[in-house]
Amino acid sequence: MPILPLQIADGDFLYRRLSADHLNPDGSVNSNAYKLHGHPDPEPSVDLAKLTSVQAAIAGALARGPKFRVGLLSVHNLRASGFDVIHKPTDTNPAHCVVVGNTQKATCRQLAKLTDVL
Amino acid sequence: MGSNMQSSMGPERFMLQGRFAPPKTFTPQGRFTPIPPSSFLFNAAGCTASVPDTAPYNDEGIEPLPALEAKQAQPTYENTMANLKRIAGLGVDWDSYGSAPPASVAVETAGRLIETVYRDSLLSARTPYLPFSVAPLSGGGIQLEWRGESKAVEIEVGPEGAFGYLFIKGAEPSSVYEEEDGVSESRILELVRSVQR
Repeated sequence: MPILPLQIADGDFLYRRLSADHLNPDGSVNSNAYKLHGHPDPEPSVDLAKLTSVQAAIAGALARGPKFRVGLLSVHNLRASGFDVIHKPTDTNPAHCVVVGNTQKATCRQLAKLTDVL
Repeated sequence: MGSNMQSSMGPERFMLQGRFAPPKTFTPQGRFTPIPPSSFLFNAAGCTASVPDTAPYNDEGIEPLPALEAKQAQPTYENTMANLKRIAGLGVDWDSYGSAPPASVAVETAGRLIETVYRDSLLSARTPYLPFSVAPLSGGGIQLEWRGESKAVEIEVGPEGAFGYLFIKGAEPSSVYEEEDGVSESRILELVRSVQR
């Protein structure tokens, strides 16, 4: 049965899978985490926290490799910075969403600054 | 994120071992506010988990994360170049989003840029100037960042050696940004030197 897209509320949170090479030496997130094929990723994938769990997000990251991590984003903070979030569930991932508004190198950096590493 | 979010890994792996420190977020006013733990540690089905405040999931058998190792290491020319060499050895899909491995031209160009800036800094200011970060870029490039007191510059080296940059002036989040692609190496060196001053 197909999953209907939900409206994303300001109070929602999102998880973003991060490679160890998406982290700076001080543990903060590098803007490369929001780039795809050398350009700003126009629709970086995230998971809606309320449709999954932190255990599942971490387990999903660790399934990619022992050094993968999970970043946490607040929808409120994203919208306050000019981004938005669209719920795009897939057959295999009902929590799948995309962030929209990432069109420049500067917005990649802003997204990185808005990401806390769990 | 990927579709394999489910795992047989038990929740006990992530149980609270110490104090929990909620992560901080930016408010529109620019102030840091803690995120209430309950807002993301509980899902719709009522599942819960706790996250320790240090070295999150670095359990037995998993070596320390590079970021944590690097935090304790001095940024030297040697470890900067060693990190670039490590990045050069990354394979396909190093980011889990389908990236190509770093291209040799990008690695060589980034290494030459690091060396030029380092050598010039020693000759002019006698203070070694090394990038704050060296990282792979999705698609086969390398990204470097130099930071100064009130400026920073991100340099992108594409898989074929082409340069792009993001220049950041002023304290974030109220910074002024300038960005461009397809610029010359001399322009890149000029930007990096302007950050150092």
